[in-house]
Amino acid sequence: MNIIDALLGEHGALYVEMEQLEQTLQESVADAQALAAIVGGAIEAHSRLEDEVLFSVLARRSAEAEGIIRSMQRMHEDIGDALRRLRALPGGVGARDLALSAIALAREHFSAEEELCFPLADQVLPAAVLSELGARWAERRGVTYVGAP
Amino acid sequence: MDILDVLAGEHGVFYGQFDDLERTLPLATAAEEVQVQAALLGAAVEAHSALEDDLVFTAVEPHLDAGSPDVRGLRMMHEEIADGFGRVRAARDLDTAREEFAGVIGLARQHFLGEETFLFPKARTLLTDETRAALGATWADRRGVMRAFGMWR
Repeated sequence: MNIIDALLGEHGALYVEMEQLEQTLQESVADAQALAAIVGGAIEAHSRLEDEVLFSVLARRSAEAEGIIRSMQRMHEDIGDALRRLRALPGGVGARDLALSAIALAREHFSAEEELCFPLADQVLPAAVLSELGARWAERRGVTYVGAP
Repeated sequence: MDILDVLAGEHGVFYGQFDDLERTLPLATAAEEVQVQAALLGAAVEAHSALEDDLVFTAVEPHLDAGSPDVRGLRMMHEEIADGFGRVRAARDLDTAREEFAGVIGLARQHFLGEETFLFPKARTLLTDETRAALGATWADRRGVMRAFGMWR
């Protein structure tokens, strides 16, 4: 299991959920908190895994990698802040607008990872390391399939 | 990009959400609250099932024995999971909505485990690296992953 493919898979599932969330929030503001809880929690868990499993290893490879990772981690913090502020709101239009902003931020961040961070990891980390990190990801997620040894 | 690795990646997100929901479902105060969460998760899981049906199951079936009962069973589970989400939507009270949601989460977990222990390892032996990569590219296109700037792998 290649860690990059596993994380791209996570992006794929999250893109669908973000789209679904946006669609629902356009129709009703009533459920912003309940919906943001389920998608926001998943985005935060995803960010934590990236930070701890991939980014911590990638950042040590070069000054360029360290710089890119620092900006990605800053984006994780911004998304986390938006979600925390959302949880503190009572609901209504304000919560809906903040939920939509958090989604836009997350989508932009995923694109940045796909454009900069994952290609860099693919380039500088040996295949064996990518597989080892993939196995660590699978263990953390409770996924039984580990793919290639 | 290997189709099996990215689909396992999708499982990873769902497992985390199943854990969260199993923890928070007992705290729900209205059926509507449970139903709106089930609608969102159900749409994502059903989209995942459709990708597996269209990409992996269809690619693997010609390599297996006639009728391939194992794959047929997994396809049937996709339908049962969709029916389960439908029952959450149809629930008229909080307890029923919670019970149905917990049930469909249990079923989906069981199904994912079946895929990870049987189907994915089997598909890995039956489909070449090139085929799995081509299916991975189709997955990326359908999911909108890396759409903004093209594929690098």
